[in-house]
Order: sequence, then C-alpha cells, then structure tokens
Amino acid sequence: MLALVPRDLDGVDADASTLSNEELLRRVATGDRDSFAALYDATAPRVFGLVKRLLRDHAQSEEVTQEIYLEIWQTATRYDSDKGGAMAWMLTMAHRRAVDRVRASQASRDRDVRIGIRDHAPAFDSVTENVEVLIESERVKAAMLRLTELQRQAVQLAYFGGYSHREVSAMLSVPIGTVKTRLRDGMIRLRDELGVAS
Amino acid sequence: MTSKSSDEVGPDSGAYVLHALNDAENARFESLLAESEEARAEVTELADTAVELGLSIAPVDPPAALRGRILDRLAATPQLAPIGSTAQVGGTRGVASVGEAPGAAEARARRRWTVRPVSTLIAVAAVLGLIFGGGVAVTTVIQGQQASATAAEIGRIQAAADCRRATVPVRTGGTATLIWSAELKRSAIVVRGLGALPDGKTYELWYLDKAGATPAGTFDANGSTQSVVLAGAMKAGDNVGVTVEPAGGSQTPTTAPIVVVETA
Repeated sequence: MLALVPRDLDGVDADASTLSNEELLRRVATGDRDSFAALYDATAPRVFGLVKRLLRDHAQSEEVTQEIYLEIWQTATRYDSDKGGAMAWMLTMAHRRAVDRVRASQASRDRDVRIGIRDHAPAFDSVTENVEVLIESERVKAAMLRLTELQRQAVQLAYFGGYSHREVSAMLSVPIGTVKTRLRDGMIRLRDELGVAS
Repeated sequence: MTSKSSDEVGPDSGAYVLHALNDAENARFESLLAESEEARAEVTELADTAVELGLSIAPVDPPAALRGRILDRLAATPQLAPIGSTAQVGGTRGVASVGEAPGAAEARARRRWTVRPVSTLIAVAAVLGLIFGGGVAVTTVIQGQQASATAAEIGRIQAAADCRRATVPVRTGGTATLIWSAELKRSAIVVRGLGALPDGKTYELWYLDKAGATPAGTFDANGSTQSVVLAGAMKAGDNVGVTVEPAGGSQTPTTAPIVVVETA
C-alpha cells in the first residue's frame, strides 16, 4: 500500500479517477482524452441534472449537455484554477448554455404562435413549484427560505427556470426594474446566508 | 435591506449572474465590469452563489450512450489556443472579460499565435471582446429562402473529393459545422441551436485571412438547424467566422465573433 503513494503523488501514473476535477481539466487542456472521459464521469450527472431542470425535455437536455462538454473540451485551455473550481466553471457554462436553449426554444415557440400554430402553453409550473421540491440541499433550501417571497420567486424563475427578467416580470406582474432589484438583493442575501466569499 | 445598493454596481449584477439580462444589457454590464473593481468583486461572489444553486439540484445520470457520442466528437473538435490572462471574473468565465496585464502565459500564447496569426487575432478579439477590422469588399448576401439551391450547393460541396468538415461550439449557444472544399473554393455552414436575434440584428458570415475579414453573407436563426452557403470564393487557408451585425450586414465586423471555424 505505502509503496503506491509516491506513484500517486507524482501525478503521472495516478489513476485518472482519483484526480481532482481541476487537475483533470488541466490535462484536458493538453488534449488528454482519457482525462476528459474521467472528468465527464465525475461531473456529467450534475451538469445533466441542471440542464434537465431548466429544459425539461430529455432529448434537448442531451443535446445541450453534449454542446456543454464539447465547449469544455474546446475551452479547457482557458480555464484558470486560480479563479475558481472546475465544477463552478462548468456549471456556470452549463447554466448559460441551458438558458440559451430555453430562449431559442422560446423564440421558435413565439414564432409558431404568431403564425397560428398553437403550442401548449409554456409550463409555468416552476412558479408554483416550491423550494422543497426544487432543492435537494438542506443548506441551500434554508437559505432560500430566508429570502422575501418576491426575491425567492424571482431567483427561482431566473435560475431554475431560465427565464429572462422580462419573462419574470410578466409572470410575477412586477416591473422589470423591480425584478432586477429583487434578483440582486436575493442573490446578495443568499451569498450572505451561504457564506460565499471570494 | 441586505443590498447596499451601490451606485457604482447598479441593479444588474444579480440578473447578470443568473443569465437573465438581454444581450444589450449584458454587453453594457460587461463594460461596467471592465471598469469597476467593485462590480467585479460583487459579480464573482454572486456567480459563486449561483453555482451553489446549481449544486443544490439533484444529479441525474445522463443516458449511457451520450458519453460515447461526446467522446466520438473530440477528434473533430479543435481546442482553442490557450490565452494566458483572459482575466475573467469569478464563475462567469467565458462571459465576462476584463483587461489585465499580459503575463508569462500570454507571452507563451503569443509565440504560439505567430504561427497562426489569423486565429490569434480572432481568439484575442473573441476573448477580450475587441472589435476587429480589415479592408473588405461587398459581396452577395445569400438568404435562407433559397433552400433548394442551398441544398444543391451543399450536395456539390459534399461530393467534392476534398470535402472537409469541422464542428465548433458557438459562444452564445449551439454549434456550427463548416463544410468546405478547397478545390471548389466553396463552403457552407450548418448552424444548430443558434438563438433568434432581436429585430434590427442579423448573423453575418466572414471569410477570415491575414488581411482581415471579407463578408460572406448574412442569415437569421431560430434555434433550429439551418444551412447557409457562404457567398464569394474561399481562399486556401481562410477561416470562417460569424458575428452579430446590424440588419443588412456590415462591411467590416463591428462585434467580436461568436464562433470561428478554423480550416487549417
């Protein structure tokens, strides 16, 4: 057992599955496909869970997850571990990509409606979906419950629903300026509750 | 309230990290980020807070077949040249960009760039959000309605003995696949999942070489799959880029490319 330690420490022969996501990402940046596969295995359920939460549709979630991992592959060269963890980098990218797809689908849905093809009304159930269902982590759940009702709804719709401030404003019947303020105040409150510091 | 409502940061930081701003507001907020240390600090923390929300969602195992499909595509997906100090903020890397003194890594990257000056220029522009320019000529605009002509031309390109293709993710979402034949001097781009632009904006295609960018047509997108044949002749070594331009297209790119497909 002890004899194995130096091998692991030198990093070269270490089993990819024991490496940190940051180290895997650094190796991916050099074109290492085995490390990419290991990184995928370590992170895909988180990324797919997030994407599926926003998109609902299974096929689209697969497509977007594929886009995200190809972007990770392509831009791993630009990842800087000094500026944050690999998972944070990947989830931020995943959220942006999922939101882009929500907007694109929304745009084609709007167009369909305009030309008379009646689509099913967009599922606004995330408005009513409560924090209990949405959030697995007790810590985050507790923090969310410390927000005002309007802050919580706005943050939920924007992050978990992928809705723009304009859509959130329409759904909650408050002006866009108010939505922006609630989103900022809500996120600041969450930051403080969760003890996030840079 | 918890917010100190700093005048310097303004109200958009929360919506920014939640990806809830529109494109114009996003661009405006990113220029604020470039100038304001206070805004950068706030966005870094709020972006990390947004990541906490992401981590609170129950993981879902993707279908097993997805892994193979992704791994199969790596070979055809070129990796970007490293840029030392992209200097992006917190968890919003890839979205925000702010200036920072060039470091050793950038110097290293520069050396690498001298080998491929065009892709270098594009990469820098893409990352720093700079405007790039160059002398260009007017070319024909090809509209999406010419569907059958497009299909026929793509068929011709694909039938060429030297037909090649490359797929690249688009910075703003979706993918772009370039199909080209050096012999025919023709190329076509297949975009997938590119979002619709606001009124008054259009996507514009460019042939990119050392001298700059040559317009190669405009197109609109709606999130579905679309094919566009590029206008004009493709020269050996030309890369292809897409920017967002005012309706009708520009003679010279006025925004950073959302995607560049390298053909080298």
